[in-house]
Amino acid sequence: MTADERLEKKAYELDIDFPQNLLALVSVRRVGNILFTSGSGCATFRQGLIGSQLTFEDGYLACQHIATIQLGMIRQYLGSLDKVDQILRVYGHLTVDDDFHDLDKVADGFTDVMGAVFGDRGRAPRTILGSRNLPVGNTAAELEVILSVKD
Amino acid sequence: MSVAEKRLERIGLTIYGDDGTIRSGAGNALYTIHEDLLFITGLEPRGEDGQPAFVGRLGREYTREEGYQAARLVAVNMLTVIQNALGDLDRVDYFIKVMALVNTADGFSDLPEVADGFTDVMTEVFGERGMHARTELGATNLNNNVPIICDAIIKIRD
Repeated sequence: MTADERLEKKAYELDIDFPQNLLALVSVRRVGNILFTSGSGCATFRQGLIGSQLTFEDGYLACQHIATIQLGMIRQYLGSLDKVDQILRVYGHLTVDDDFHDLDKVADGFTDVMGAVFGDRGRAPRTILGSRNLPVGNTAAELEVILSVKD
Repeated sequence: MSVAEKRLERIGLTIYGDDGTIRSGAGNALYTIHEDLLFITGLEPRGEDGQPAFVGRLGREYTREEGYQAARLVAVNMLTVIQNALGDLDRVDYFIKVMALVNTADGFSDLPEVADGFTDVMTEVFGERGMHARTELGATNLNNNVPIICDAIIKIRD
């Protein structure tokens, strides 16, 4: 299965329809063979504080959802995910309640999708922080990546 | 012994022999390398046993000075990762960018003074090459409720 096919499968499992034009906002920028993506949230898919209004599982699903959206953006920009060389770095915010400290395991939802699509090339350093407010009525998370592409 | 290691010894810091216990998230890597760029994951202040050595927020469980010490320990963790990634700390050409996330209670704003603990270690070890562009951000929560996490983008050389 190609990376594009694995993305389609994941989107189907999560019931995600990619917006017609993901580049309506400038969502990907390239310099040399490095790509930077804009942070994306999961809109109304999950809203609220993880640890009180949302469960751990909700947060994990939200991160899976966002990974799939990010891959959709990258695929639209590159034409195919097979042009991805390596995920270099992941950065993200989670909307969490005061006493919730299991941020890394929630963010694994994001990296698990990257790993499922790219294997070891999807494993990347990661910086995750808890925040109290994110856009779209407190969407549960917002994540972005830096990645390298093949020539 | 590399120049950086001599400096470490002089300031009385020891990096850990093994980076295996520093971070073990499922889908994570401690670092990636692209050409001459080294990306380091966000690191917690962990002791040599791999457990967080500080747990709590600035302005509640910890003072500014304690936060500074936690930030120095994050730097020790990062030096361990760099040593294991490159085999030699002298292969660090210079630091480019550091993000310092500080776990804060309401009303605490001495973020730079806390993050200076990290920056001070890097400049003590690498001199001017350890200086970096830095962004500090007050987080409402960090993984394991540690007081500080720092990541870095570093330019490397052969």
